[in-house]
Amino acid sequence: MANVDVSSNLERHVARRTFPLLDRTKVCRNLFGPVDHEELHCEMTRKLQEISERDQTRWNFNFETNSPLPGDYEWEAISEDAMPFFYKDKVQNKRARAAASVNATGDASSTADCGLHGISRSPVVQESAEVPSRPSELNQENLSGALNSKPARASVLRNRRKRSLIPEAPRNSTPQITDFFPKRKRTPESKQDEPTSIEVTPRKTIR
Amino acid sequence: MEQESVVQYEPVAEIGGGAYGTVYKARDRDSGQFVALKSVRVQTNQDGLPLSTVREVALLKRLEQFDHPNIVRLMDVCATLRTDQETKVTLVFEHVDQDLRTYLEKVPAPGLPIQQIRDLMQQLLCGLAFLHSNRVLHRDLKPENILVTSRGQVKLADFGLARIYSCHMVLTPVVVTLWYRCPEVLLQTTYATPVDIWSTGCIFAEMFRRTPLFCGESEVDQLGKIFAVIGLPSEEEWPNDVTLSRQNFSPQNPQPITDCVPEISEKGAELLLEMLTFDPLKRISAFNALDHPFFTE
Repeated sequence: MANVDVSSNLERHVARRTFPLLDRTKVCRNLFGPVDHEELHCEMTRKLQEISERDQTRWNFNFETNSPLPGDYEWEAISEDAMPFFYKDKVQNKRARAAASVNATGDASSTADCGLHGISRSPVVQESAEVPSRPSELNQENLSGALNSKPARASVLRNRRKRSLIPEAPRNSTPQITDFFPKRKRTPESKQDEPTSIEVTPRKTIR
Repeated sequence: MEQESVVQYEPVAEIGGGAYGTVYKARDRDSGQFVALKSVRVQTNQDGLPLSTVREVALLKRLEQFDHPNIVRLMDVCATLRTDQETKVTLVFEHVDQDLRTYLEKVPAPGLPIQQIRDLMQQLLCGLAFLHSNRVLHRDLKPENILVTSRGQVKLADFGLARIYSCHMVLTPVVVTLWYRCPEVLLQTTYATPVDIWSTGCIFAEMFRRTPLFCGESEVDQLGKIFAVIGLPSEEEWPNDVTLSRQNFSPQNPQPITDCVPEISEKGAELLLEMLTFDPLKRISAFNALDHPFFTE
């Protein structure tokens, strides 16, 4: 059934996108014939839509617009202050994205972090998820004075407790926390390679 | 015309990127049970949701199947595509209306009776032993993450979520508390399940004191406050793979823990010291802590 396709540039291009691993090989084995990306995309969108509708019905809540619908659950929007800290939305998305793009170049720690969360679950967990602390861990000695001098954004927390503010800027010269982890085996690169076989198959959409 | 403007200006995100202000909570008319929503926006790349997020959600769902009494219930995980670059993941949790911090704040003057502290600690350790036996670290255990139901049931929350937030948060100036952080994390060395035991020790002391045990203002200050109580560790105990040298701290002898926590019982003080042990390998485990005579005295 193996159909060796060397000539079709288009298919080749598509294959490269779908299977980055094959990027450098000369021959591409096409086991299941060409993929109709358009159709697959539609199918996935439809599936997601189905799931969303099911969620919406189950909870009578429109998660997309963040608004309650009539049904078994009596929804009420209440002030965050009336809720335990845990339920608060702590994700500062806009800011994070801006910061991420600023620091995107040559910052190994960000990639390492995103790539490694998954493996750090063992009892000998290395670093990864202590997300908030990472930047500070990189250079706490140098910055210990500055660390908590201005808890400028502390107001986002209702918490009156003093917390330390972690600066994002200077952190090139000092050793990275990852330097201290002898147990880590996988690098972000190898991590990325591994899931291709699992991840790529269902996702053939090209955007 | 009006329709046009609606199309043109669609809301992108709430200011500040999060719903600071309101949270949705609901009551199930059938069961009377309360649920609350917590949403996390995850950036998606061309491969969709980050694998780490998918894994983390899978882990939370897997833990959920055990239905552990001391873990907050996660009822559902709902994903909605917001844009090509962003997916909103909404977690539907059971709603508990107070955490340990408000619980302790409400306790009147003489403080909690020791029997009640024993009960809270037992539940806390039970939840923790469950997480640890499933190879999950909490890593940010603090009174705010420990929910206490109106019937006094303890439920751990917010574990695992850090990794869902992480891809966003790693580069953001995030405000975190250092007060429950163990020496090995403060010193940036390898760490594992004992981190949670350290935090539990700090919380244990706080149950008696009703005020936090070590309130450091920076990592170094936090370590200084810790050593002022447990004493400066010996040269041999000091980890050799850290940048911060032992010489940065003045030599100090351990103080009697009862100076900090006068209300504690003898067995309680023993357990507390076993939790606040500098060397993570010598620190008591959640499992062994549950067997400590403090719980049967």
